[in-house]
Amino acid sequence: MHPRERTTTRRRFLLASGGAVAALSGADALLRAAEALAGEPMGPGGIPLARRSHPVTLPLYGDNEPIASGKSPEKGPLQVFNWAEYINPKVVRQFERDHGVQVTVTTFENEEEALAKLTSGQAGFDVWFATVEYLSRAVAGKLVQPLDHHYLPNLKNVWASLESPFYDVGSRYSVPYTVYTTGITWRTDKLGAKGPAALANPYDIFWHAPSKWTGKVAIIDDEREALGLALLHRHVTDLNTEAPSVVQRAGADLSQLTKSVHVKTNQTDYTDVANGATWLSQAWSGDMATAWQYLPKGVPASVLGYWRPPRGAVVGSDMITVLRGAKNPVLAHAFLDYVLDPKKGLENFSWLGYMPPLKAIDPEAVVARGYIPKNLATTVVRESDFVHGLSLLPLTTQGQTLWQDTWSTFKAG
Amino acid sequence: MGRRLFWPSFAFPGAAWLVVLFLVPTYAVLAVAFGRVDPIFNNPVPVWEPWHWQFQTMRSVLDELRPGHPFWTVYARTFAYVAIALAGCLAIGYPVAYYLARHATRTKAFLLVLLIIPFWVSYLMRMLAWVGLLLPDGLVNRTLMDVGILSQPHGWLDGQSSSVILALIYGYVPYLILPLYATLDRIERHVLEAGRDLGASPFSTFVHVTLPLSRNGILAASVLIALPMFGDYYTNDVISGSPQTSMIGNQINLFFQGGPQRTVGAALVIVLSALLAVLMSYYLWVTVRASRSEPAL
Repeated sequence: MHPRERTTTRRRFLLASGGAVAALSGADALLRAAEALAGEPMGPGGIPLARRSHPVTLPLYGDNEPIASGKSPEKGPLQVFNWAEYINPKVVRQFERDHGVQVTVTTFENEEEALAKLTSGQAGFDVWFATVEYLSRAVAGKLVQPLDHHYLPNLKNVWASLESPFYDVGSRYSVPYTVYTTGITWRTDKLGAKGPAALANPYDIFWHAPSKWTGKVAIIDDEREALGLALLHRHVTDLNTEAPSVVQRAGADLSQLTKSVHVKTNQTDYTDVANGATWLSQAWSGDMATAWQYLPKGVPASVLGYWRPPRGAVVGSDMITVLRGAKNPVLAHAFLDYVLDPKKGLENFSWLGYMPPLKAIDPEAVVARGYIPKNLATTVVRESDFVHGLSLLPLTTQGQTLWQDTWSTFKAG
Repeated sequence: MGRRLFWPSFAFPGAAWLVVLFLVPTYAVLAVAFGRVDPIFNNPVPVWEPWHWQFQTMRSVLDELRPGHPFWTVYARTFAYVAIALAGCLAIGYPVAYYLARHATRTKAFLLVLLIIPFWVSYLMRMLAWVGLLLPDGLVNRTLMDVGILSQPHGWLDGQSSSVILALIYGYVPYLILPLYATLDRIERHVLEAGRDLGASPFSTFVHVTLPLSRNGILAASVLIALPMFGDYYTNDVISGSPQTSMIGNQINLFFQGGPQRTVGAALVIVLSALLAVLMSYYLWVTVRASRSEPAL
C-alpha cells in the first residue's frame, strides 16, 4: 500500500508536528531560520542543498581552520578510511614507498556506517572517501577540515567542471576521486546486441521484461538509484524531487517489477551478469568496466552490454577529504594530491574501473589501450557526461523520509 | 549468613551476563525507539528517561501493522517462512536425532562429529557456498541435468520463497538436531521396553512413549532455531534478494542501515520481540506444566 493511503504516515507525522524528531535539536531551528532567510531548501546544519543551478560554497568555521602552509609531512602511519576495494593497493604501496610512511586502509560498507564510526570520536582516521550526499553533513558537523590548496598542486589536473564543483565551490573541503554513470547492463546473448537501446525510452526495458526473465532482472539496492530509475521510466528528470505523488508513483512502478519478474535488489551486478544469474540490471559504469574479468572461462566479453543515454545520463562523483581530527594532516594532503596525479589516476582506474576525472586521461585511449573492451566503451565517462548529466543530490530530512518510506514499501514486497 | 549466600552466589556470573548483555541492550533499543535522531548525521540519539519518550514512531509502526499494510505483509511472510522452515527442520532433524540416539552404535561418534562440522563454518559462508551450488551453471543444476531430471537450468536463485525456506532449513537444521539428540538419548531404554512388554507395537511405542517424552526437547530445539530465524535477513539477501521474499529482518536492516528513521528500525525490533515473547511464554508455560505433571524418569 502506498504511504499516501496510510492514515498516519511517518512523513505526515513529521510534517504535522513541524519535524518533531528533528525539532528537538537546536540545529533544526537553525536550519529552519536559514531556510526562511534564504528561501531555498536547506540541508543539515543550515547548509543549502547543493544543486547544479544553486552551487554551494561550504562554510568555514572559526574553530575548524585549514592547516598552515609550508609544513613537512608527518611520519605517519596514515590512516585511510575508504569503501572496500576502492583504491588500487599498488597505488597505496607506491605512496608508502615514495613518502617513506606506512598507510593503513580501513574499509566501510556504507556512508552511514562510516559516519557512525567517525562521529564516535574514536576512529583516528586522517583521510575519508566521501560522497556528495554526506559531504555537507560532514562539514556541518565539523568532521572534515578545510583543505590548504598549497599542498594540492595536482588539483589543476582535474576536469574544469570539478576543479570547483557545484557541491563544493572552490573545493574547500574535498577533491574529486571518481566519476561514474548509472545505466543499464544486459546479457547480449539473452537480450540481443541492442538491448535497451531498441526501445524509444530504454529505461522502459525493465517494465517490458517478459515473464521468462523472472528472477533474472535486478536493480541497484539503493533507494535513490532505484527510485531514480523508475522516475526516468516516467520521463521525470528531477531526480531530487520531494513531491510525494511523484516519488510514490515511482515506488509503485518498482513494486510492479516485483510482481512481474521478482526483481532483485543488489549491488553485485558485475558478478551476477557475468555468471549469467542476471540478464538485465541497473548498474554503475565503474562496476561494468571490470565485469568482463568475472566472466566464466571461455565466455567472450561481447556477452556484456552497458547502456546510458548519450546525454542526460545519471552521473555521480565521489571525493576524498581530510578529517578534522587527522593526526597527519599534511601527509593526508599529500595523499590526496598523489591520487590526482594522472599516472597514479590511470593505475587506479585500471584496477578499479571507476574513472578519475583527470584531464590527462583520454577516454578514447583507455579503450584503445585495452583497459576496457570495445563493447563496454559506454562505461567511459567524459566531462560532457558530467556537465550535462543528472545527479542524485542531498534531500531535506522530510525528503529523505519520503524516499525511505517509499523504498520500504517497495522492499516489503 | 555466609553459608546462606554461598550457593546463590553461583548464579551471580549468569545474572551479571544477563544484565549486561540482555537487559541493558534491550533497554537501549527501547531508548532508541522512543528517542530521536541527530538531524545532522542521522545517528540515533537514545533517550534514557522514560518520561521523555516519544511514542509517535511506535504508533505509526503499529498503524502500518494492520492487514494489507507493508509491515503486516512482511511480518506475515516471516511467520509463514519460519513455520514452514521449522516444520522442515523437524521433519529432517527428528529422524536423524532418533537414529543417533537409538540405533547408531559404532558410527555414533562419527555421525556426531559430522553434525558438529557445520558449526565450524560460519552461517554466512555456508549460505554463500549455496549460491555457488545453485547458480544456473552450478553443481546442482549440472547434476540434475546430467541425470535427466532437468532439461534446462532451474532458477533456484530467482527470488523464490521455496529457495529461501530451503536455505533456512539447511542453515538451521544442525542447531535443532543436537538438542533433540540430547533429549532422545536421555530417554531410558527400560521405559520403551515397558511399552513393548505391555503389547504396544514399535510404532505405537514411539507415538505413545517416545514422542511425548521428547516433546520438551522438540519445543526447546524449535525455540532455539525459531528465534534467530525470525531475525534473519541475510539468508533472503543472499539466496533471493527480491522484495518478493523479504523478511522482517530485512526491513529492520533497511531502517538501521541509513536514513533519518533509525527509530522505526528500533520500533520494529520491539514489535518483533513482543511477538516472540508471547511464543516464549507459551513455551515456558508448557515446560513448567510438563515438569509438574510428568513423573521423574
